[in-house]
Amino acid sequence: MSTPTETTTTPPPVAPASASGFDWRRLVVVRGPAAWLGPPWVWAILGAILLYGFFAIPDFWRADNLTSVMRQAIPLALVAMGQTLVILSGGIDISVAAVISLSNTLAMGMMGGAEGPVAYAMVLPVLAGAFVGLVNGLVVTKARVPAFIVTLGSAAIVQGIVFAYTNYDAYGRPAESVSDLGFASWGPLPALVWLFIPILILALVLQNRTRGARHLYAVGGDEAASRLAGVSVDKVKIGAYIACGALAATAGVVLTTRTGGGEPLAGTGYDWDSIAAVVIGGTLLRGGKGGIAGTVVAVLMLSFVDNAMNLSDVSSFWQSLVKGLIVMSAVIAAAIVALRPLEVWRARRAEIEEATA
Amino acid sequence: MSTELRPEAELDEAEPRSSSEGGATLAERLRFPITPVVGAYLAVLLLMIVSTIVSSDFLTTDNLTNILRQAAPLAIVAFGQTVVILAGGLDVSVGAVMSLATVVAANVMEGDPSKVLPTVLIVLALSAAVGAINGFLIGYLRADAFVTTLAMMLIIAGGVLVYTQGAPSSNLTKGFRDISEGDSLGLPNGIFFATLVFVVVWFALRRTVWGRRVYAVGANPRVALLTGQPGPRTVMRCYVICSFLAGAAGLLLVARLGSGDVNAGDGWELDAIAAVLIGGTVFGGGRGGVTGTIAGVLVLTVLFNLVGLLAFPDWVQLIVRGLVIVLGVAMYSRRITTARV
Repeated sequence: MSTPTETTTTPPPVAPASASGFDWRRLVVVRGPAAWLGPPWVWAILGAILLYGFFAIPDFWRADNLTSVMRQAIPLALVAMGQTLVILSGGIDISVAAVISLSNTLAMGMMGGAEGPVAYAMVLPVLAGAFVGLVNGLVVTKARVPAFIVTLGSAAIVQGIVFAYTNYDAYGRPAESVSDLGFASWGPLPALVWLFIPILILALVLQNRTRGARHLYAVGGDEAASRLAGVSVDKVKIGAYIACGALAATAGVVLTTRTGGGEPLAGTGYDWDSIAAVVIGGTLLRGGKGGIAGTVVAVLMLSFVDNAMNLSDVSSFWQSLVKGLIVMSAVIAAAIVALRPLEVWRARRAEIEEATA
Repeated sequence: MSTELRPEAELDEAEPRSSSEGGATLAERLRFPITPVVGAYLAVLLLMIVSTIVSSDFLTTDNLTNILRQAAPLAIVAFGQTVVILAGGLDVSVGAVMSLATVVAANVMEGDPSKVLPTVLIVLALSAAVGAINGFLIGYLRADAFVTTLAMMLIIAGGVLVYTQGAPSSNLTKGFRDISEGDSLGLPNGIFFATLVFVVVWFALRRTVWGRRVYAVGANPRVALLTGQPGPRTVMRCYVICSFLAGAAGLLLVARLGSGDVNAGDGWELDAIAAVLIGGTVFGGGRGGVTGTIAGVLVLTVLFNLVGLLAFPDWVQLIVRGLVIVLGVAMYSRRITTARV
């Protein structure tokens, strides 16, 4: 074999070690726009749907329609952000649906229509979700059980607890101020969207600007190598599961602002939907590559697809089929991209040319 | 790869050398290796003893027949799932395929005895086609098994809804329902089907070249490739078998339920995966087999039966199910070399 080709197998450059002391450049230097905005193809699909809606669906481009789609996308966006973190770490969290049901019924049950316990009812369910995440993370890292199995089991356990707590029925009632918040608009956007924006910005800064997140990518990319490099792999993974549990629980709390009672099955479907959004958003299921920006754009895209189909009177049966087809297209596209057909073709051509020369 | 896991993972296959040094484990003292498969069967035995003590209704012919009747479809899906997991994959679409099978069977048969055979063939062909798509994407395009089958699950769930428009259907013939509800030689018919599937799958895995390849590809796809084995083709066939068997299990299920339901298969994929892993097959591929899966299926079925006999509310069953899945797998987790997904 020819020696020069050996250099092509060098690993991608590692991020520069964090300098001691404050460096202003770390605040302004952007690590590629995709880290903040998501991959361009998700935007392209979103743009195509918006364009289609503009020409084909009369009510689509009304301001109240656009803003209400954004508002409806928030719970899934929150769950999917958490799911992204876990998937980046190389795991998966099936328990998010049960955690949403838990936090939703817990918040509703604590409020019971009264204004007094609202603050607790917003915070305690989130802590409960974080606790479920902590347990998930501990079992995954310490007992070394595959994440799929652990979170599958904890999903069943948490859902069982929810049923025991609610006795299979709608449970609790939201406080009036909470419901008001869910239906309020501050200026052009719904209040919930305004509240979501700082969370998203904070999450993006944490993802792109902290050492913990850097370690998260490292662990997902190559766990053994990160361990050898001194990353406390277990802590990073547990952190991802805690964040995911807390974000899923937050989604459950957000859902209380729009309904009249706690649903023991409030989270149904959020597990698969969140994973689908992560995949469509360009995060590798293997871990180590991707980010929450792509996920959030993908959630927005899926919400607009749903909305466009609703406005076009497509039956809900067809809607679930279309959703499946979208996810499958994303999976196939990701697989083809991962195979790098162009590079393989070029390499083969170069080989042939070399042999014939 | 994770090099520090290797020696530990190989422990359970090493000879019991340390017995002379006094640090002998129970297995070594008994001069009897407690492999995961043996462990799973011991768990079944223990569970049955406990059940007999706790509930006087457990050890009755009626109840045991009932357990076997319930175990048959789960066993058939789980055998298919075993093949896929052995090859290093995972198929979460089997529940949806089962729903598909129940719905198609109930709609196509139209209560006409002459249509039973065509219906069965249509359902099995459809299921195998689903598996072929999964297998092509995972084997040849190297798509991730979990998301591919997840997307397939969503597509089938949507497709079934479009097909039925959400309406249930129950035009099954009496003869068809007997494949699950009828008895032969005092045993439920389903058990004979499950036994047949077991024998075929066991033979295919243990006594054919293809079976060797399944283990090779699951243990290390790269080595399989370098030793010139047709990895993609092997993997694809695993998914075809898995979906085919899920369709067969769906037929058994619809025969038991008596009507096609778009949600009939919900949760079966998870029970099937749990049964496979409790039966000692390693998540990540290359180790295990269908013999252990039978024990996994029995653990789950006996457990659910016991929870039912003791008239616990459903949520107890959910919690027990969750605990059993996690604990069952945690016991073998030392063997898991590639803890992924």
